[in-house]
Amino acid sequence: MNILVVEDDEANAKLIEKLLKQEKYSVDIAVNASQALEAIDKALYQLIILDWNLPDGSGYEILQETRELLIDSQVLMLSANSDIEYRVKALDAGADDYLCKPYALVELLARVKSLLRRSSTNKNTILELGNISLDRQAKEVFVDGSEVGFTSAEYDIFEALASNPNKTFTKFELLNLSNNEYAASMMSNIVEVHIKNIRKKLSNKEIIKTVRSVGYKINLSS
Amino acid sequence: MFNFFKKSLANRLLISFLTIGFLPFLIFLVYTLVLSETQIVKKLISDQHHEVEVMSKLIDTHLNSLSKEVSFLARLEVMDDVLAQDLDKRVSRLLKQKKDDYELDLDFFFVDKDANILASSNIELLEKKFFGANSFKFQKGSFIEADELFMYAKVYASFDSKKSLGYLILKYSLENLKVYFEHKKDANAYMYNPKSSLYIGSNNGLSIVIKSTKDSINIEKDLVVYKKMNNMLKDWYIFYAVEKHTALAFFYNFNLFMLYLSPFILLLVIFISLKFSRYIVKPIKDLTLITDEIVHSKDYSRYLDMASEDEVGKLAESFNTLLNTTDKSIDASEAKSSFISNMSHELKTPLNAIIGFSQYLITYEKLSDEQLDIVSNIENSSQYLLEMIHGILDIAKIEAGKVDINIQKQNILELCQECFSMLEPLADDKGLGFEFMVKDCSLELIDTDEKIFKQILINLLSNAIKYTQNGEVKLMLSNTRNELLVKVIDNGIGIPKDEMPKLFKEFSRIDNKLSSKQKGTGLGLSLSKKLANVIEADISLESDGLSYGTTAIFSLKLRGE
Repeated sequence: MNILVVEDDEANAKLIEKLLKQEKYSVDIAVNASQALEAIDKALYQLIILDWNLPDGSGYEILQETRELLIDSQVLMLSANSDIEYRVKALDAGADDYLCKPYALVELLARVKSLLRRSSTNKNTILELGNISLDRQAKEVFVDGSEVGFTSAEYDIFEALASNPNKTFTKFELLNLSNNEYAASMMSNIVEVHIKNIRKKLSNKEIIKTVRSVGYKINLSS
Repeated sequence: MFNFFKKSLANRLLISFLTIGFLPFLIFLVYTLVLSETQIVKKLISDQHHEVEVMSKLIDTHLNSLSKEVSFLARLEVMDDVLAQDLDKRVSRLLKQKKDDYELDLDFFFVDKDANILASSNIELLEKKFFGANSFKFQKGSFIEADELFMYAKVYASFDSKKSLGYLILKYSLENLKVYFEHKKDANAYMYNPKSSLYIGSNNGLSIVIKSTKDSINIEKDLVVYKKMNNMLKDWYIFYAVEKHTALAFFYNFNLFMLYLSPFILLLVIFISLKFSRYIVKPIKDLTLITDEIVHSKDYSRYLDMASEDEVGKLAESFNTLLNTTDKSIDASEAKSSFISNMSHELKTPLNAIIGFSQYLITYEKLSDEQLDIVSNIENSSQYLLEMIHGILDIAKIEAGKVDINIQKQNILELCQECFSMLEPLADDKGLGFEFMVKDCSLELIDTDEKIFKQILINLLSNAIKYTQNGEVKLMLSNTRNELLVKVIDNGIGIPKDEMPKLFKEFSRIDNKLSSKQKGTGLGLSLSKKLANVIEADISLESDGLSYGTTAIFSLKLRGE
């Protein structure tokens, strides 16, 4: 899977590159619009991650040009601007998704995976973790074949953890998944409450491990 | 009707001008029409009385002088001639001479004791008998028979003053007195004897019933004054009548003129009042129009150009100063908001890298516990910094009036239930009672912005849960005719009275043990109140003091009510 990251801020570009390479994707970086267009012209990318603001143009213009060239790569737009009009503009021009800065890595990764799943024919929607299974399409969780009633916030948190076993997520990352619109300081301990409820509902206290003062991860050995 | 005056300065001015302009004229008109006639009639009567007095005196004087003439003639020596039957006619000639001198309808004649006329100014009377001799017994020097006045004096012989020769008589026709009445212009004067029903002069058809010696009568067409006469004419009354239409002609004409004039005066006053009230109010109207335009367009760089130097001109000048100050402060405020907005966006990019790398390290690198703790602290603090930037950006947006508002019909119960459910796990985890009550709420749908409403209510609910250790938090919904009230009632730590005003200020928090343990930016309540104001709502807090709990009231003005 080839991914092109168009991001002028070096630190952020490097972060995304490291994250995606860690997930075994092949990543190219372009730090301005001309580099980006050159790369798109040369190679075929399944996904292009496009920052809105670039020194010699804008991600929006690259998006328009890409669609005019009938290149049907998945496009994920990144922007520091959360205004609805920007999102609508990007989606209208053919972007497949839009993520506001700053974003949690887990969210970026989830969206990248979701976009790439869309383009691949092999859409594996069922995730198995021992006696627990997740239906990603129906957003349902089953223990030994019987459904467990999760709230949507609980499902989002559990899905992120289950999709990335043995990886630690901070409370803020998990909070972003469930309620990214509301004040983090007000809600950071709600993640603890959700985790507590998930453990209770799964009748399994071991599956989600607390990483002290950091966050949580799925303990696959259990 | 009341509003007609209350809401319009022009109308109030109009009425004032109309009153000032027309009221004096109206009072004058009423006085002229109703009251002044009585005054004028009174004056006329007084004048007529005076006329009557003068006439009466003139007649008296005239008759007295005649009476004296008779006495004088009777004492002349020549009267002795009557003893000789006035043979040489000396007495008759003298009397004739006197009659001619007077040029009046009168006759002098001498009557002896046997009533024979021996001498006369009228020769036709000579040697005739005087039938009025019986009247002499009155001894008063005069008497009246029909319209003739007789004045007489006893004649004594010059040689023997005790020897009476007879009487010298003056027969005087009362018609002579007409001259005193006839010269009166526009008036009708005459004499009347009620005993004999005789008139001297023309009564012009008037018939007056006499009730006293002196009076005035106001009859339909005439003003009549009469007086009883004296001395020789004691049975007679002198009348003076004036036809009202003649006497009051000027007054009636003046009244008519005033009546004809009044509609023109009224129209003139209305015209001037309208013109002046509009003239006075026009600059104020112009000023209001321009200020409305400015408020509507929010173009505070405009300048009010009022040419006048009066009070309105000064008002416009003050307004221009105000506009100028407002424009500058808006510019400054916009510059500040724009700076904050740009700065916040610029901060987000590096912050994204800090948070991202921290999360990357935590997720993918095999860190020791100590390293994990350090990186986690970096992420944690960056998240608070980020939240603060979001808050500042929101406040800057509100202050710049650039908040996206999307007002739509929302199901109020569902909206509150959603927020309630989102926070329920937090309250449950703390073991707090958490209740959603609907009390006296007749509303189902309200017009509001869903996102802003939720942001505010979640903030209030999470605050209540955060600051309540034991007990309960209630979400209560009710409404009045004009507003929806969403109350979040807790029995947590409460708020000291003196701390209350601080709470809505940015970065302010109550300083106590419980709150110092809580994390937060100190922007939540201030931001919520500002957001509430954006959607025409408000937030207020009530608390009986520390440890008495707090009630947060989120009140939304109902649109279209």
